[in-house]
Amino acid sequence: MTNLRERAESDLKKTLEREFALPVTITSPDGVKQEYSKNSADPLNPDTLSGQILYSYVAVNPDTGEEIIVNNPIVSLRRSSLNRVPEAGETWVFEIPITPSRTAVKVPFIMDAGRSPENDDSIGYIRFYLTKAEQL
Amino acid sequence: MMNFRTIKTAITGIFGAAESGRYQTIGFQRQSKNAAEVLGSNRFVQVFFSSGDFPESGGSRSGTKNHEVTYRIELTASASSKIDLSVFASGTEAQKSAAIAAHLEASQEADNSIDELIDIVYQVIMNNRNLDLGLPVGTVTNRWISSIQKDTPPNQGEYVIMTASMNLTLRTTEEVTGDTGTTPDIVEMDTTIKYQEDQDDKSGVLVTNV
Repeated sequence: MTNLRERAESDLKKTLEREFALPVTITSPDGVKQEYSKNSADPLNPDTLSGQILYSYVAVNPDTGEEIIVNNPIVSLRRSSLNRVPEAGETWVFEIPITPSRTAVKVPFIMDAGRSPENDDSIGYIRFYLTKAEQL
Repeated sequence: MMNFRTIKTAITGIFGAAESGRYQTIGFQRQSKNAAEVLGSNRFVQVFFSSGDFPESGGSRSGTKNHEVTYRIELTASASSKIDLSVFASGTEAQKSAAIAAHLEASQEADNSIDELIDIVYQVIMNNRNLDLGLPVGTVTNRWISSIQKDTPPNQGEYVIMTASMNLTLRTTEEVTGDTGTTPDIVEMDTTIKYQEDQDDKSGVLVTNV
């Protein structure tokens, strides 16, 4: 009998990395860039590393009661597609399309110690809350 | 106009004159703002009347009334992460790693930014030169920043947003002049009727509220 969690993890190929997916490039703290999925079947024609990206706006309601609207890109990736899984406290550079299109220009974002990723180890994906990266 | 309105205009003017490109002054309560508007040195200083107390012992029935006023000063700043982006297109792994190690964290940038803004705003309003807020002596007494509150930053969004607020309390007196109302537009009621078309004899009246 198939383990349901293993099944759910393999389904991420469809739910995270197919129709709604967008290409993502990540660079680890040691400068190693990953553009292709570790799960690629054909090493000569590898699959682009892809995931779900939500481009939502959130209205923040801090203690003052005022609203501050902020763009909130959230990236979800399949853990098994990553050569190295980002850990909380590390700094990674993400390059994601500026608009929800596979051909859109990619812009840099950062995951750093200020924003921990959310792991869902039970079915194997990881979610990142990114901050915009600007030139130092 | 009651003094609390005159004083708010004076406070807004003082903050406006001290901006020097370090922040923007807003003299009213905005309903919402975008994090991108308050990025870097575009920080917001928002001043508005918050509350007022009229102690019954502090005024006469027909004369001036003591008014203990609280203005709220809300500060908003946001920041992005800073990194040397030039190496990510064609740099080596070592260059990218060095750039990542040297990046400036957005939460630290935002925290420093709001602390600096609190410093500026406090020093501006509590400066002895602004003891009377630029108004005739005696208009304002007991000007005091009674509290500063820095809020918890939200944990989502492409910018890290920091907010803080101050309560500025002071005392003034208010004159009760009565509401003078407004002058209405001129209305003409012409009820004249000519007896015959070709004659000047008329009936009725023409009323104008000038």
